Amino acid sequence: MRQPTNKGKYIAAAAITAIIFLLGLFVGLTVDSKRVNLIQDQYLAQRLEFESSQLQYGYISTITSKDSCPAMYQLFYDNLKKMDEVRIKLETYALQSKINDNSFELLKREYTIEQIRYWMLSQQAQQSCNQDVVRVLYFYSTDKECPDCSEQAFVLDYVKKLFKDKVLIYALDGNLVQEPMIVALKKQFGVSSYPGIVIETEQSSNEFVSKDRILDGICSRFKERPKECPALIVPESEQENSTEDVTA
Amino acid sequence: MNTVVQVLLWMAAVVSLYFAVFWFLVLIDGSSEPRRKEMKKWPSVTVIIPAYNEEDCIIPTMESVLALDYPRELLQLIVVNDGSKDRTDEKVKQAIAAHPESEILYISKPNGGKGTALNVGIKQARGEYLATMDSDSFVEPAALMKMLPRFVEDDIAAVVPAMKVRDPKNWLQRIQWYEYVVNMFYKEMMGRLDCLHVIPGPFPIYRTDVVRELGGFAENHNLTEDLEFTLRLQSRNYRIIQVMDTEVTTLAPDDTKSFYAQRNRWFKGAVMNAYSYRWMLFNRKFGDFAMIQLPTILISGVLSLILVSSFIYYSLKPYVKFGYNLFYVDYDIWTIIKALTWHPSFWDLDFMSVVLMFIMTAISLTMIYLAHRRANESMIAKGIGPFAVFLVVYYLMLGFAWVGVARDLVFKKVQKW
Repeated sequence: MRQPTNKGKYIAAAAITAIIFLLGLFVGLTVDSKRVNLIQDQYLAQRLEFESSQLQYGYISTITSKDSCPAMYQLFYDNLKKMDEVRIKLETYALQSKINDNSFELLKREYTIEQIRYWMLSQQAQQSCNQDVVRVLYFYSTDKECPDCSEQAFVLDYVKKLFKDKVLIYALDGNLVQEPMIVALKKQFGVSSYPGIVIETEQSSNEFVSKDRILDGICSRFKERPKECPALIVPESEQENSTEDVTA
Repeated sequence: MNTVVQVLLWMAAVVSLYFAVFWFLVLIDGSSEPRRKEMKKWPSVTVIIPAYNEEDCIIPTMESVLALDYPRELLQLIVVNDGSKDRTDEKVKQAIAAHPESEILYISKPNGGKGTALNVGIKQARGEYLATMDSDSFVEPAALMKMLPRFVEDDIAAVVPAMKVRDPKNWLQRIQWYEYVVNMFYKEMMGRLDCLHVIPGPFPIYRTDVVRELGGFAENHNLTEDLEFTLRLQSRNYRIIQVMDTEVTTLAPDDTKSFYAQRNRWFKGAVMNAYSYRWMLFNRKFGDFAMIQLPTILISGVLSLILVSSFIYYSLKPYVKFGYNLFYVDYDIWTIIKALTWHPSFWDLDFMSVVLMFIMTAISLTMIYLAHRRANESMIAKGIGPFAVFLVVYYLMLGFAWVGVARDLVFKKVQKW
């Protein structure tokens, strides 16, 4: 006789499968909460570093000696780099999180504010220490709204790697409209679509900008053109004039 | 689109996990070794070997059958040459001449497919029991003595031996050796629930009257007549017993082309035959076979395609994207490499997927370990390398065979002998 259906095993297997998924959900919840705590701790540490940098630049603007400027700038740049790494991590965590979206959104907002603070401090640093750096604001959005953002981020990341501390790139989520500063910056620089690239005080590109165009924009802003910039092509007529000048 | 893929992936994960848990429960429910009866009188047996272009191994196969430890007068061997174009005919005659003491019937017929060859043999069979034998397989001498006592009840239509890969030489054959060991274990569990869906060609024993009652094997059935016949047995509520104490060995494909062709045939045959018997689905009259085994066969291809394609997609996507993006920076990879930093963190892992993967891997490893223990084989018997490949990428490789099956089913490609 054929065995009767093992109904008990079907139900038990369904129950165990459900338990495993609940376990996964529980682990996910615990991990999300750990991740939020971890990023909050890092945020507090970076907030402290920022305040220290702010104090240092405030102090240096009151004295005539600028000897400590390079070391201060290095510290500032390292903190900014660290903060950007955490921002990227935060974006990944928020994408993976199915449970704790709200906490991640709040953290994202805190980090955005922090980026803007750093951007403003870098202006002060430029003035106080006469630093030859170029600042870039990068407004991005989700893949759906901005199919080119992934490629644009890759190009900007490349530029960051190429120029290291000579170029400061601040990535801002353009959709974070609950943050008034984002709205204000978008208005100031005319960001109407993504990706939006703002080099120093230029108006936003509002489209994908190629590596060459970014390099042109950045390199024209340096007081002293760094070696990473492509060689300048001087028109022939100007070349002749300069030769004549030298001869004269 | 992305959401659809995600939902499909999660559904595939849930279903796969459910099946893994179910069979694990069957496993830990305790072994119920098939019973055996005391044989007062040994019955007559006919062994049928259908052969098509088997000049290389027909003699050893016939020798292995003729070496069976069984009374000569009760054993009949029928060799059916299905229109071979090589020297099979000459080799069969040579083997017959070497064994004048045995009853060997040789039938040569025009090529018509394996099913037709088996049916010609069945017509001539005089045994109460019937064994079929693939012409590239070999049986142990005690097989009949061990298997015939398993026909304890009248509704047991077939008894199936454990099948292993014969003398694996290269990596592909060694990997398949591991696969066969695990498959046998899985089949033993299926047998416990009367769920076997295929009786492979090498030396299963049938009740001759049942085979005749069912009209023999399907002819022109894309070389999966064994699958079809098993489903027919299941549809008539006959039972099939899988035994582990009797071994047959078979030659496994030794190159990727023939390996792919074999798997393509098996998988396609399984899906097509199961689809033909879809009317049995979820009908309690057919027990666990209809409730779990038939649905598994029908969706296994889809599951495999989803899991394999998503695995490939998610593994390769970042690299393809990286390669594509390099175009935007004039392929200046050196600048990127120089600035590479890596700060891995435990908390960066995608834990939900990790938990799921961990549990499924744990279940799979337990199954593999127990399968080897049951088969009295070491997990590294055929080398650590082939075992590692079997463990890590083999089922991914099989996924590619499913891609071919999907393509063939769409374009209705016909299988040939």
